[in-house]
Amino acid sequence: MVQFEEVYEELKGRTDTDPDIEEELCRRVAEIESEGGVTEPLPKVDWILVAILIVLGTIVPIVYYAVKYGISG
Amino acid sequence: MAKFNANQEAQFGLLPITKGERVYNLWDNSCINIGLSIATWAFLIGASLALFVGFWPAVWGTLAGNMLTVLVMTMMPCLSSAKYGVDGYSGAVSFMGVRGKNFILVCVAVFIIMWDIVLSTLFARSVSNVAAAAAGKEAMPHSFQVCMMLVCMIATFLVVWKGPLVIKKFNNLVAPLMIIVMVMLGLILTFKIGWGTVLEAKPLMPYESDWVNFLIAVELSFGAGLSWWPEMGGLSRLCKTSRAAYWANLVGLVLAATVATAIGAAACLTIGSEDPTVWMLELAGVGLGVLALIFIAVANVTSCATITYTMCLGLKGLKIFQKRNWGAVVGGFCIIVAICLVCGADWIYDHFYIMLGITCMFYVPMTAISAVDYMILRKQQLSLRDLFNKTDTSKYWFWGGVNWVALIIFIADALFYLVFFDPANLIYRPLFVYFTGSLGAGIPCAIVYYLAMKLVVVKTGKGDYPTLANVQH
Repeated sequence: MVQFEEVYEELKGRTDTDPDIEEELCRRVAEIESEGGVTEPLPKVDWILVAILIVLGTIVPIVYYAVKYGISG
Repeated sequence: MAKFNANQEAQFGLLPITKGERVYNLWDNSCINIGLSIATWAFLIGASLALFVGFWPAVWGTLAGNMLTVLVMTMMPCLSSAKYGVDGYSGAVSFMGVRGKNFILVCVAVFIIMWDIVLSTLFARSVSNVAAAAAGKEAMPHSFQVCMMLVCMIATFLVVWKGPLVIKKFNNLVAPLMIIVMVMLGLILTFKIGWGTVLEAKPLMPYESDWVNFLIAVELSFGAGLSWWPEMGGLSRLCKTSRAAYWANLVGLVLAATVATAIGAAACLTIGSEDPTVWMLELAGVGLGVLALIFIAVANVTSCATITYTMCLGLKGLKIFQKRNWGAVVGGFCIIVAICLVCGADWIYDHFYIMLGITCMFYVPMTAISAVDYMILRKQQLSLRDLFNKTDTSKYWFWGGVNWVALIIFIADALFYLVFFDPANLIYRPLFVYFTGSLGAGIPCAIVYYLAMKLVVVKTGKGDYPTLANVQH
C-alpha cells in the first residue's frame, strides 16, 4: 500500500504546481500506485485480434492492389 | 456559468484521473471518437485521396492506412493514459524526458497551427461562397476571404477563452449537424448522381503508375490516422477499462473515418474539384449547398476551438506560461495563426495533402519510439510519481532532462523519411514503391531505438527501465 505521506515527501516542491494542487496530485498518485494502475492491461486475445485486424485491414488490401496493379514506379 | 479559471484548469486538468472519476465505457468513447472522425477534416482527407485514386482504391487505401496507424499509434498514449490516468504529454515524459517532452509539445503546436489555418480557410471559403450565392456573384474578392479567416480565429479565441463548457455546447450542436451533412451527401450521391458514376470517376491529379497512386493514398491515410495523437491521451484517461480506451479507436478513427472519407472522396471525384466549398454547391444545389456550407462553417469554428483549447491547455502547463493570463496564452496562439493567414498561409489549404505527408514525417518516429518504449522496453510499467517530478531527482531525467537517444533518433528518422518520400514536393523515391514512406521509416526507427536504448540507456540504469536483474528481483 503506497502512503500519501511517502509520495508527498518525495514530490513536495518538485512538481512546478501550486501547493494545494501538489497535495491533490500526491493523493491521486498514491491512490493509483497502490492499485498498480487504474485499468488492467489488454488480455492476450485482444492482441491476437489486433494482429488479425492489421492483416485483414492493412496487409490484405495492399497485397491485393500489389497483385492487381503490379509493383512498379 | 461558473467563471473559467484556466490556471486551475490547466493544473487540475493535468492531474491523473482516479478510478472513481472515470466516466467513459466502450460505447461512450466510441461515440466521441465517431464525432471526432466525421468532422470537416474528413472532406479534406477524402479530397486529397481523390487527387490520386478512384473510389475503391480510396476506400481500401483509407482503411489500410487508418487500421495500421491507429492501432499502433494508440498503443502507448491510450493504454498508458487508461492505466495511469495521465494525458499524452505527461506520458511523453517517460520516453522523451522531463524537458524533452517540450520538444513534442512545440512540434505538436506547429501542427495545430497548420490545422487551424486549414480549418479557418475552409470556414472563410464556406462563408464566401454562401455570400457569393446570396449576392448572385460568381465569387467574393480575396480580401473578403481574408477577413472571414480572421473572423474565424476571433470566434475561436472567444470560444476557447470562455472555456470548456462553451466548447462542449458547440460540440453538442455540431456533431448532429455533421451527421445530417454526411447523410445528405450520401443520399445525393445515391439518388442524384448514382454510384455507377462515382465508381467510374477518374482521379483528378494522378501519377502514371496505379500502384504508386494507391500507395500515396495509403501514405496520406497513414498521416490522417497518426494526426489523432494529440487527442488520444485526454480521452483514454477518462475510460473505465483498457478495452474502452483502445477499441473505441477502431470504431471511430478507423471505421467511421473511412466511411466519412469515402463520402468526401466520392463527392470530390464526381464533381472534379478538390475543394469542398466548391463541390458542395455543385453537388447539392444552391439551397441545400448553402445550408451545408453554413453547417460546415459552424463546425469549423468548433473544430478549431477544440484543438486550440487542448493545445493551449498543454502550453499553459509549461513553466513560462503558468503565470500568464489564460486570455493572453490563447490570444497569443490565435494571433500567430492570424498572422500566418494574413501572410498567405491559406496556401496550405490548397495543398492539404502536403500537410498529411509532413504529419507522417513527425508522427512516424514518435509512434515507433513511444510504442517500443512503453510496450517492449518498459513492459507497460511507468513510475507515475516520476512523470510529475520536474527536477533532476526524477527517474525520467535522463541527461539534463532529455532522453537524447530518443531525441536524436527522432530527428534522424524524420529526415530518413525523405529517403522514401518528399511530402513537400510530393515526389516519391524508388524505395517508396516497396515500403511506403511511413513503414520504410517507422520499422527501422523501432529497431534502432530498441537496440540503442538497450545498449546505451538501459545498461547505464537511467530512465527506470526494467533490467533482467530487477525483473528477477
